[in-house]
Amino acid sequence: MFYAYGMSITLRYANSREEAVDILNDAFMKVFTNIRTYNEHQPFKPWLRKIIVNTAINHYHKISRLDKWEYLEESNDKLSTESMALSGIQYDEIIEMVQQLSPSYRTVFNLYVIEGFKHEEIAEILGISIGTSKSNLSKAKRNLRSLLEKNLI
Amino acid sequence: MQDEDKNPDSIERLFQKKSEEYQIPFREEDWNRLEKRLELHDMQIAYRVKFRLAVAALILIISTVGYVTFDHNNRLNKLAEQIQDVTPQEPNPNESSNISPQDSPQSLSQFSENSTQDTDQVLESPPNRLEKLTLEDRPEFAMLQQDGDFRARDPHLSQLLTNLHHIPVSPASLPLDLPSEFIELRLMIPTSMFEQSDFFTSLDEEQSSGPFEGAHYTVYSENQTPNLSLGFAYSPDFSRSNFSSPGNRTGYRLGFKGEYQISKHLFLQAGLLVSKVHYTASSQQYNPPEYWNSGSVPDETNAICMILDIPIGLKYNLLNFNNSRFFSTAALSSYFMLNEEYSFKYSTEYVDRPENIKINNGSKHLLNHLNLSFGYEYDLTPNMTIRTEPFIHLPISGVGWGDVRFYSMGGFVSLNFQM
Repeated sequence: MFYAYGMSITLRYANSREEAVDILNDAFMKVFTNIRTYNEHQPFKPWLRKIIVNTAINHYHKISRLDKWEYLEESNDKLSTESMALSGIQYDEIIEMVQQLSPSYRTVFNLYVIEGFKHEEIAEILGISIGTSKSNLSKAKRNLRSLLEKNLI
Repeated sequence: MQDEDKNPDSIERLFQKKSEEYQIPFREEDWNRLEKRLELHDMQIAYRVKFRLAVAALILIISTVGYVTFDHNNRLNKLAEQIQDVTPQEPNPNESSNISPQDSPQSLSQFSENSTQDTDQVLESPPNRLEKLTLEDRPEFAMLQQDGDFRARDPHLSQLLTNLHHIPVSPASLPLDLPSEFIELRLMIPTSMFEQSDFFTSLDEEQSSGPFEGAHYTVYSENQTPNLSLGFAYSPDFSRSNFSSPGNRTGYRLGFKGEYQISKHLFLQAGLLVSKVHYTASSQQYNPPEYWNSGSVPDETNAICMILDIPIGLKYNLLNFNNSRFFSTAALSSYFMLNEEYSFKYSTEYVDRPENIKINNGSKHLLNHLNLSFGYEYDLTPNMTIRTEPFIHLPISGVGWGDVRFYSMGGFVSLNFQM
């Protein structure tokens, strides 16, 4: 139950499934070692989600120092979202697209779109400027549109 | 942000919706990896607890021995002070240099009465000065020979004399005609209390002439103490990159240690040891040169290092017994890396990742480990001793190609020969 839930989060922050498992294991280790801090009167899932997201962010900080990967940085291709058959896209395909983004784009996109953070919060969490956060989000969306367009062709 | 895109919400809505439609199959291997980490975590906790207990026990032992040593020396100082301060009630010039039973008007019982009070003072009055002591200055001791059963008569005196063994004395300073029982007394005044080494004279032989003809003494002389000794030492080695890391294979430390006596309790020590060290380092602890890893950071590094260890430091004898002693040492070790082998483990797939590496660059790390030990030494023969010496080596800086700070623990067993 929590495995799939955790993986659904970490897969969006990781480059691969293996990396997602590493992040999830790190998060579960934190859960197990800090279970005493959990308030049993509060729902467990948000607490778990917070730990997983924080672990994923820590992972982002870690790999950002060694970021030598080549990612899809920016695409000028435009996607006509109106013409997309969005409902036909599978979850796996979505995750695959997200994983093709660079870690900085991907992390901002996840925090803003999925987790619901504001740019001010993202800037503080990731140690970047608000402008960078907005820029990364914009480029992430542009790249995702490009990928969606290619998938639909 | 939303103003920049033509229809930004469509992408966001798509990903928000799809992120909730996950159906991710469970993989057993993922859980196995987590279980291994949990086991490792439990082991770390167990090692941490063991280490803390070991440190607590070590502190307790050192504190106890330190207290006993301090108390022991205090008592002996007081005793020596008392002996020094004792003077005849009615000084008689004839008694001071050559006392015979016929010359002494005092009886043992009289002395015993005085000594009872003196003994109490010994235990209560703090020492404040120390002068050269000879039995020549102690005419009252000569009276003891009048009664061979003095111990039974006066328990206080008996205790005083029992405690007064191992005092080094000169034959010329001993009173004449002492009973053999008294001559064989080993006064216990610590040699550290006597600052002039010429005070001590060897008497470890049968006297062939003079007033002690036929008597056999065993009086320890400072002049007899060898200044130099050499020992062969071995210890298992338990090294860790940190105190809570799990155990690895056991290494060893093997070699020679020498020491030179620079004062009565203090020795200068040096050694030459070959050490085989096993340890495991995490990605944070292992810091190879940056050009090497090219982004692929091993999650775990297992190291086997052959090291030439050259310690130099001091040894202090804390507590001396007849044939044994407790001591502690503090030293700084220089490590000369003879051979290094590292094997790597990764939790994430990397392309062209190195699995292991062997380094033989002979790197030197001068005075980069602090060695502390506490030990017990036993005299097997007058010229040979055996020691047990638990130790801990604390890193001052990183060592080897991986620049890893690792701790070492173990217990030396050594045979030492007086030169």
